[in-house]
Amino acid sequence: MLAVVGRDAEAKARAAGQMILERVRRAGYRLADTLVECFGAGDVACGVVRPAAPPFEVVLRVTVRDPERAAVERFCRELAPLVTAGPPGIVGYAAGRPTPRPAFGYWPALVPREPAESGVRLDVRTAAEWVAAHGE
Amino acid sequence: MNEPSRSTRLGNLAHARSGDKGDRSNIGVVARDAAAYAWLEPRLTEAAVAEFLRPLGIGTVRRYVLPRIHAFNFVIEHALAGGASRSLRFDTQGKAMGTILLEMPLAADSSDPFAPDPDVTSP
Repeated sequence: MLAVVGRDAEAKARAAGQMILERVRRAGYRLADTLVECFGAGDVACGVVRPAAPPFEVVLRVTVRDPERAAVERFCRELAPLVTAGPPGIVGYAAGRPTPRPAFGYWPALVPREPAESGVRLDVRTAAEWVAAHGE
Repeated sequence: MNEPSRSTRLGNLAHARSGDKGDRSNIGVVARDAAAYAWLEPRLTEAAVAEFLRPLGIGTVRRYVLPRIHAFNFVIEHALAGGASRSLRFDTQGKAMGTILLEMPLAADSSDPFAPDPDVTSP
């Protein structure tokens, strides 16, 4: 997540977002899914409601998903260079490089009661007992 | 008969880029050409820049001139709320400050070679 300031902040942010994705593409990765969002310019409301006047500053959020972790890691490396060597007025890499995390699909479903174990088992041991059982 | 006040903004005459050194902000301003540099030289002063950036709670502003490349370098003390590694601001490095400075209004006069900017209110 980066912030973009200046006249035409929205256009600059969208161009910067595409720039990041294009650099990943040129590095030889095809990302399965990408999204560029521009907060402050109406993208939380998904374009249904837009600001009356063009904003002087916006938050740029670029997200990607891909089965190949290396492709996502390549993307993560592109954010800081955009701040230090990209167009002026792009801000905010103090949080450091983001790390890829798993994108879980979830599957709402009903399962029969029998395979599901009910109850809680507690196994409370002292550190000494743990060492005796498993070693240092 | 009062003529409407003419004013422009720095961004019509120059480019800028900024960064940090500790708690200091460093803003490089490059005028578009020699005429723009000559016009800015007496107007883009330390005092004027300090006044424009006052909401940031800044300290001393120092200006260095680089006439052969039509540029100024501004070094601004206490501009980053503690500096890159300590500041709680989102823009810890002051990367936005150059772009912000481009919005600085500058009162023009009838002799200046620049068109007034209808978006800018007089300083």
